[in-house]
Amino acid sequence: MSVEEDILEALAAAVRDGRDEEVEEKCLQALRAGVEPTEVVREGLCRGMRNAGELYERNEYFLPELLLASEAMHSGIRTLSPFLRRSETTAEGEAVVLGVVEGDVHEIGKNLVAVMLEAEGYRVIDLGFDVSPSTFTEALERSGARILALSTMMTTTLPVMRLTVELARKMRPRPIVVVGGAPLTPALAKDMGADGYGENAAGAPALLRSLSEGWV
Amino acid sequence: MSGYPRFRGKPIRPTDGMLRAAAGLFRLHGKVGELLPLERVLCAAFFKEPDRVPVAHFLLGAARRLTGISYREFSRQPEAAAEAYLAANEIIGGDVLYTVIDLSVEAADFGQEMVYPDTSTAHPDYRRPLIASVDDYGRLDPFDPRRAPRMGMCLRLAGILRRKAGLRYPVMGFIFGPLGVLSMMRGTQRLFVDCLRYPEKVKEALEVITEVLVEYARAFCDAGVDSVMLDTLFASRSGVSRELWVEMEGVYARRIAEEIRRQGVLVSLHNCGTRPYLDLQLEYIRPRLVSLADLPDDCSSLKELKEKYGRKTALAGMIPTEAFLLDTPRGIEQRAREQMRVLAPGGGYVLAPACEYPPNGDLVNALALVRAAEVHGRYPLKGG
Repeated sequence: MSVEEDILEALAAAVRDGRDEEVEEKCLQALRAGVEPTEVVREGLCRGMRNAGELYERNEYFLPELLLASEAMHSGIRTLSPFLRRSETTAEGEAVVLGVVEGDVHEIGKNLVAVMLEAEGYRVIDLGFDVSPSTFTEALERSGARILALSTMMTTTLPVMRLTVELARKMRPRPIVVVGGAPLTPALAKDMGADGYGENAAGAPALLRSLSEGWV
Repeated sequence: MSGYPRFRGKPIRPTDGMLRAAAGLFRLHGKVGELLPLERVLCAAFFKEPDRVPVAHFLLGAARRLTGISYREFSRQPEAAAEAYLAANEIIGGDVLYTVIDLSVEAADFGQEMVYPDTSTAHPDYRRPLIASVDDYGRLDPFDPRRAPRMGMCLRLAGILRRKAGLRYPVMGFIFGPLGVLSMMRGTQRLFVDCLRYPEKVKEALEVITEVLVEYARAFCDAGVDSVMLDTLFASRSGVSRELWVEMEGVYARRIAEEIRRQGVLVSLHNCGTRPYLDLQLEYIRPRLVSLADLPDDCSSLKELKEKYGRKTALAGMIPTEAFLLDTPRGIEQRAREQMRVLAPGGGYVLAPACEYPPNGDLVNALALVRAAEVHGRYPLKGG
């Protein structure tokens, strides 16, 4: 294994274990060793986050550990941002408009979806929580994103989620709509008119990949 | 009778042994006549078969619609909330009276700013968390919950329900667990990270919160409730790891549960997380009744749940809340029948939704749940 590979592997491990300071240090070390900034992101930061997601899937990690890893990944991105060209940080991947629907303020799940998608190269337009249906559709129009991901943790906000899905489905070109959150089931997601249901954050990238294939 | 007789302001309560003996008598009575809801639930809690399976419909915010009050009134006026809860049991049926308003009651009294929507549950203003930085964990001060606005309201609600319902219905106090309360003041995401990064700081706050919650539990007992339910949401796969839960909540929740038992009141538990750590919660809290949303992390079926835990604690819950939004009354009845068939034999079971009945859901499915117990839940169960 080369020196560069050693550094990237150590960086991925530091992200996975949520060690912020070590992540920053390894990012700079990788740059000094001549690794391209985009490769540091892809093979260090994103790989570490993917590893954390795999541990979560295997019940070896829990939400706190996953959140810690996501913070570490973001501290690495902050460290690298002066060295990345704007085009490399913001326009590389497919855009996804993401948010928690109006009336709901629970955003852990949504935040984890954001970081898992970023780790897979998606460009996430995170609208935050308590987002109105029109704000979602405006963001889709403005960004040209073709994927909308909605989250809620409450039953009281299911009607507004349904409304948001309906509005999105009327748009042309029609975006891919996926939903997730505690009160949702695959049946309810289908009943609302969503194209996909995400059971957890770690599975979000695979869900979007499968839906995107062949989508016109 | 409008509640338990009192001596020097404290309810005089039967001992655990007396309750057990009474449950045995109620079981015999239930074979020939209709039991009162309190008698029915007591039977179930002591693993005796009552006349029929008891129902806890968990109509909380939904109950307000029966008396036409707003969420804001429900959240702030104990008389209005009591009227709604009583109406729920009179109109829909059901065997338990709750004192649950929302999960932010305790946090609000520590000083967390709140939002009170008219058509949805009150919640913290998450843009302005009380614990804005790690250093704020050490700044919480203890207080007397009897004199606090929101906890005081729930205590008054418990007293009103006890007076108005007498000893017909069991009245259940409700306390959000210490880690849950803290999440309402810090935000769950930040709290989870802090638990790993700054555990000692987090514990400073948990000590103060527990001190207040122990006093809150004592005050519920003084108000005459039959049981106090602790909600330890984070003891599940949707919360923290088993080890972290013990360290950050188990040891604190145990102190609250011990105080409830010391007052002669039954301890109940609610956990609406996915794959809850039931074994750990039994070890630390020793509840008489547990209401769950999902199978425990060490069970793969209802049958296994009954075999493994059915004689250690009474079980309730697990009819998915979304079913009350999506399913037909016939569908709810069918789900209830299936669950009763596995969990109800031998007592130790209360038919209930996984968590709060959807606040804006159609109430016809709540009627279907109650009907299922009345029609299909008569002991001895057919095909049980």
